[in-house]
Amino acid sequence: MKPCLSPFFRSALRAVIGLLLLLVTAAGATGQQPDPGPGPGNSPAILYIEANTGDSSGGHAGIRIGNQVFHYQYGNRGWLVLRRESWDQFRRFYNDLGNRAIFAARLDLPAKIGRRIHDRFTLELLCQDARRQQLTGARDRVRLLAALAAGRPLPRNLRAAGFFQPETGSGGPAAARLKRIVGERLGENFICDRCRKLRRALSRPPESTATFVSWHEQRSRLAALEAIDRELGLRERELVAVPAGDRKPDLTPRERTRLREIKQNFRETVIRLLDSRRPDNGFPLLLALARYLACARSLGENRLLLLNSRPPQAETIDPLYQAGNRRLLGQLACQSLKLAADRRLRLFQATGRAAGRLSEFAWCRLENAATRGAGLAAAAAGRPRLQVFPGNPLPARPGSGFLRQPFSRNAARKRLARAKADLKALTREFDRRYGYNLFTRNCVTELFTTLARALPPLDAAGSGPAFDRQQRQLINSISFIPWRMFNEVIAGLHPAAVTGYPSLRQRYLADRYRRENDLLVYLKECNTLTSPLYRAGGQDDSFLLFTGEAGLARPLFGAVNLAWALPRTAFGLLSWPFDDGRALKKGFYGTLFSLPELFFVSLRKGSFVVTPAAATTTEKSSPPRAAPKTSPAS
Amino acid sequence: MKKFSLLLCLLAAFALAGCSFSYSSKALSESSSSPSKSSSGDDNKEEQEYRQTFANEVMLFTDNMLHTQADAAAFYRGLARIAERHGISDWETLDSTYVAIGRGLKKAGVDRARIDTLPLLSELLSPRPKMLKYIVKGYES
Repeated sequence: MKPCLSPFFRSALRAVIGLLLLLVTAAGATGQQPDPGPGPGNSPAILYIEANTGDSSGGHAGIRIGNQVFHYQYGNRGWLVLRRESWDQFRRFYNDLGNRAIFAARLDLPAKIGRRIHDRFTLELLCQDARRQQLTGARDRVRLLAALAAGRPLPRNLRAAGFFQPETGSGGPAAARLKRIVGERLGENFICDRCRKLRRALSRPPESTATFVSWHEQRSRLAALEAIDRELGLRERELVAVPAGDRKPDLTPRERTRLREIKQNFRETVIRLLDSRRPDNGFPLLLALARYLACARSLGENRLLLLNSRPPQAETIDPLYQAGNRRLLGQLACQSLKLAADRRLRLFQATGRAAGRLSEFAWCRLENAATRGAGLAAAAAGRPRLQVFPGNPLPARPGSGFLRQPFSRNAARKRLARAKADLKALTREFDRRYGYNLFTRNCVTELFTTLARALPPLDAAGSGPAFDRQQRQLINSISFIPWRMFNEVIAGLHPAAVTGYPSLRQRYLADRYRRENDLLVYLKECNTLTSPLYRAGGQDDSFLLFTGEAGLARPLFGAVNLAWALPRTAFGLLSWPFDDGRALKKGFYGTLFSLPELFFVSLRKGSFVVTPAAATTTEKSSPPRAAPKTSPAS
Repeated sequence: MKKFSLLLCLLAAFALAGCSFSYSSKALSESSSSPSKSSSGDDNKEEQEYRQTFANEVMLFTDNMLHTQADAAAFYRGLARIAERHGISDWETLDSTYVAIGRGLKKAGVDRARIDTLPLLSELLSPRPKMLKYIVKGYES
């Protein structure tokens, strides 16, 4: 038990120290004059993101270059990983949903240096991704050998193999036609010969992670060949229908013509990939085959059906939140389905050059919008377990294919110990390279380490195109506390401009104060019960009063919040067996974050799961403004 | 008392996870988006951004691969990973992939005359020699 708890103790210690640091060091305003903000060029801007409760409760840091933001996030297994978002997305996540003010210090650097910094961060991202793939390979190898050693079926980790029904001939005339064309174009025995060769190759157990990657690719290729050979069809539950806006979902004659072209496009992709020299052609083959069959089925049923793109790691929304927000989910479903309908319209109305070639990117986005819309609509109608996912992932429902026992249990058993040792070593390497440490490796330290690596060396006289020796020293020894880092950047790196982006609530309040009676607005907006903007629940803890604008009354407001949260904590202890400790968690966090408020420090600002309807008027108009003259931690 | 302290410590640790952001918030927000999200302008902007980012990543990756003396299989796998992150599985047929590879070759300092003999590219180009012109185009851009 003890070894399991020690990471928690470490995290707890880190957390308490983090809170103390914030309490002790919270000071120093960074009020700056308004300016144009980070421009569209490549001049980098250091970002400081205000603290709030929940995630990144000690504040956060990032770097904006052009329209992209790079930042290090604390992720799974305690690893600090580099992420990249578009500036719009980043603002949406942190500025709007996270309800945190963002401050940007634009550095005065030549465009060439900006490009160099951007490339360095991108390269870090690519290297990190390659290492993660290696780790995934090591994990999959252990899973495979463990399953085979125990006589269990092979793991269901072949991407896109899960779209297919196992019954031979379930694909109907479209699958049969494809098989015939493959035979005509590549040879009658092409599939059988390739399958035989692959089975022979797969009978040799993978000796290392590197050979496992190749082994797994071959398994995937075999699954694709067998899907064609057995004329497999798609599983009903792996398809989502795409609405057609205001009209009936039926395909119009024009859409049918276009869909036939798209189907043919996917068929040609399948045939080309069968003969491709790509070592990893199994997954794209399975995906193109599934898309081809989805198009064929759409034509058969006269409605557009696409692959369900929800990835296996999609996160399930808190059932309580889901139950309490059916109406909101209904609105989101409408928005998402409308988006899918719009994309459908654009894709099928494409003319000229755009129509000649199908954009896979656009098709994938259509699949994602339809999947999200269908999931939200089902959740709004009462189906539990809404699963959500970010980005534009390729549909990749995993399956296991038809391979059963490629090599003996004994052979698997012999190699399992070695595979586990390899995985352990690789995990240790990851811990060493990406392990989080509050003081020495956090979102600030890693950001500046990468920044320092990106800079060209100084000449003998100590000068260069970017930063002098003193400034380089500052970059190398920057404070690990986000807001202090930002103050040091302003003082030492002499940014060309500093811009503040008020949080969603700040913008909303400013707008209302401008238009309505100050006192009435304040009375309505100072608490979580009557605020039209804020909705209690979501991921926030229990609190009653917003202390951000309370000024000298903050300790009093904090005491009220404490009195509000304590009984909830007590109630949470009683309800723990019935709600998995949810109420206790909210009550405890409410208590914890009320304490700094007693000492004039306000960390809690409230957050949003989705952009509230009341804020849509201010959401559009969110130009950069002067940084508010308040403490970053207040 | 000891157990209670442990509980408090655990809860505090959960309360103050550093530098993270909720995945579900992010994911759900992509479903919601702003009202303007459904406009074609937004989609076009995102597609343009994807093209630029994809091209830049392929260029940097190619440059890096040439410096690390990686084999062709590793190169293809890397290209596939980059493409997949942008919602693309069939990167082999995209002209932009080859233009970006050409730019990567130039960045890596490869001699123009050596391009069509590079072992890293031979398997990629042998089924589609026409794509060489896009590599050259990228190299000369």
